[in-house]
Amino acid sequence: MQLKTAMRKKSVRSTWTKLLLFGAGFIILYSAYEVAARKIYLHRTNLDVQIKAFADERNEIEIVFLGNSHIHKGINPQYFQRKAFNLAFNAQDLYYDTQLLHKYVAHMPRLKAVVFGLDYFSFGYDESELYPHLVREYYDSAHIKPRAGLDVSFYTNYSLLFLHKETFVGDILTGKRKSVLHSLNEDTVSSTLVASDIKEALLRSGYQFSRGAMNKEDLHVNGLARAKFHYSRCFRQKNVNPIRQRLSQSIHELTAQGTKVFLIIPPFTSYYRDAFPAEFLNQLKQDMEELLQSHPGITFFDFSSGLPLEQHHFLDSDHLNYQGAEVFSRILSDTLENLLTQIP
Amino acid sequence: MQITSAPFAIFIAAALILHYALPSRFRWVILLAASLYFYACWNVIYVPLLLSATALDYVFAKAISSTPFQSRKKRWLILSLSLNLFILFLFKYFSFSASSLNALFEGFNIALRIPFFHLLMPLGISFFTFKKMSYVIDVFKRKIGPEAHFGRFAVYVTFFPAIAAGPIDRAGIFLPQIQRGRPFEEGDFTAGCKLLLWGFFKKFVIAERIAALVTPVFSQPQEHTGLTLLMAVYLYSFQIFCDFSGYTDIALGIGRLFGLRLTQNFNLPYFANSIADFWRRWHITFTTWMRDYVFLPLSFSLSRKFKKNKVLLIRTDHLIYILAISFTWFLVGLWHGAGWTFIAWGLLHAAYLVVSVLTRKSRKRAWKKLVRNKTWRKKFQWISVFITFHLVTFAWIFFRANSLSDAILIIKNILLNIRLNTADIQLDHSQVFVVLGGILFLLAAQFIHSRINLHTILERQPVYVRWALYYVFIFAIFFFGRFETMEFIYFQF
Repeated sequence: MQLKTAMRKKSVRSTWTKLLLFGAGFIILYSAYEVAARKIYLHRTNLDVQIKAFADERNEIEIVFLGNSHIHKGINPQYFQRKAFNLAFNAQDLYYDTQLLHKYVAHMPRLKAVVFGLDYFSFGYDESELYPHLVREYYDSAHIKPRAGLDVSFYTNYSLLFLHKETFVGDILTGKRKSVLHSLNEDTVSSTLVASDIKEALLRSGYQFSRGAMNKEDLHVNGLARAKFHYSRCFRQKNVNPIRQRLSQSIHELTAQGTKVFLIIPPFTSYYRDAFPAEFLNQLKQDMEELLQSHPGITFFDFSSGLPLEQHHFLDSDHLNYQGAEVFSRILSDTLENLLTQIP
Repeated sequence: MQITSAPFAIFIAAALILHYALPSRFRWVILLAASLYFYACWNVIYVPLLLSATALDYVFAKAISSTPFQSRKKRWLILSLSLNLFILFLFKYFSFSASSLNALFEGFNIALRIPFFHLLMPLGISFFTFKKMSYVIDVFKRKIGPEAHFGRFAVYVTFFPAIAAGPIDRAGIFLPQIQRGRPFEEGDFTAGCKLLLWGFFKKFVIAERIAALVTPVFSQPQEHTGLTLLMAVYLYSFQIFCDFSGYTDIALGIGRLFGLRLTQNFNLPYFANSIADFWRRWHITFTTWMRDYVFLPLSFSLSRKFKKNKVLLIRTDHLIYILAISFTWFLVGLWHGAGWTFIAWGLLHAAYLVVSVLTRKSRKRAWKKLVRNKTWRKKFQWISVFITFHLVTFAWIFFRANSLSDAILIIKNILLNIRLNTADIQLDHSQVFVVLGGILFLLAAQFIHSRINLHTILERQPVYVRWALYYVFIFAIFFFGRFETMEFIYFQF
């Protein structure tokens, strides 16, 4: 009996010892990964550069553009007569649009207009559901808390093992690693890029330079795929009411302080537009009408069709390249200027 | 409480420490408390239902054992089974039955509508009901004596790793382990951890990644071409295996941590060389349950009714088999879900088994004629494995499809519309690489394990080799695992 008890205690001690040693080994390997990953993933992101540039120049800015990659790549502030800044970013949703505004708008004495770039799926889109790593980046760059508050996943995302595991796997498997100097033609949704010298200069006005175009067949396939991705994966009905309320509140705050609010839908190719189900677009139209009725002072422009844009102006079925951005920016500038000059 | 969550890890750690800190005769308290707490985290309202259902069968079994009269034993047995089946029917099948009957009445223009309501199905109801029923039946048949201790019996019914998706352990195997209690064994702990690791790998690296590819296809099959549907069907075969067996490994692993050996539920099912062999390897505890408590008693009962050699020109033994198998597999399908797709899936497997039995001799003769060399016949056994896998995969279409019409549409498109549309599926190369790599690794590991026992090989390796392998697995789960959904397919049953 005593022998059995002694053996049991020895077994327990041995297990604890092995567990501790195993755990120590795991911690060492884990730490080694974190150190190595921090050399692969650069500490300064496009989002960081953009937000810092915006914060530096906010006293001078008169027009702010918000939205996702459609605006980020589609509007070049250098073509505007007033000092403008493109605060849109890849995959950015209306929550982050409004939070950025809320954070900085009080410190923008010269602000005249805010332009919200909307999409067909904007009212149902929550970027933290698809791109959780961006939640961390918005907090690091601008101290914007995630919409659900600071939960466990927010803290675990400090670890690059959790934050970048999806891209890390892809990077390792495809042999692709992010480097300090990135070509102008590189165009990804991931924000873990540091701009090259030329790109950084452009990025200081918030605009992301994009070069390239697609042929008709590729545009057709791309349009179908992108539209399907947006209406089936990006849009969630449960998000609609909270998003609309948040946007309404922002519009209310801006108009109360005398800032003109514009809602725009940017240009798309017909390959993208026509791939959305009719009932989906009808619902959007209804939502927009309700929003406009509740805020009579705001102006809405649907630029998704009707502009003098050709196939070669588009990077893909739903993004403008730098040539298309120039055309669109000039048109938008003239449109806004006509309206803004009426404001004292 | 999600199995991959930090609260669950803390819960397990606390339960383990308390379990081994107590003398073995009190460990049932920790196991029961942990099981009820686990159940309460899912839905506290159903804990009294679970406990009362458990208490009823505890009483019925004691009543069966204590009475000397066979007729009274039978009455207690019938009462117990009726109550169990009634509860199962009420929560799981009432809505389906009512809506099916209403549809039937509508079809015949009968102005009668059965009102129905949706009740939240208690977690694991199919599993713990079967456990209780098998216990009472075994007591009735005197295979085991009734458990005197209610607490230990309650642990058997509610044991938390197995309550949600099995295995459906027999009381005769589980209860003695609780009764005698096991001291802490390093071997159990290590084995448990290895099972957990393997289970997490299968579930979160393979099954979850496949789910991301397959779910959009099955939810809208009309929008996909035949080739996409075919790929989705093949992938689903691996998804359901990795999901279910992954969970089973996690359950077995947790059991081992507590020094309890739950019954193996899978034995390389996709290496089966016939449908019958497949069912001896897939969800073993469930199929043996159906065999012991439905198929065999039914076959025996029918054999006593059919005295002649032939009935309606069919050999009696074949007819008995056809009837018993059809009914059993009808129940197998129904157990998996209150839906016609599951029933169709079950009956399809019944058809496979019937055809297999009826044609066994002629197939054997034809095979011998085709391949005269015995050695080559053995080598070509892989053809049987190949055919069996495809028969099973075909049947999974019905299991997975949202409706019978969807299942037929999928089959139709696979046969008639086999082309690839690049816009059809959003393929991320890294995702595909991980999925295919995971499946190949799984198949390779299982193939090797079918030849030589991998556990034994692993145990013989030096500690640094074993630990290196464990670290690789852990990091593979971190890097390649997908934790967004965290639901297990068999939880819905």
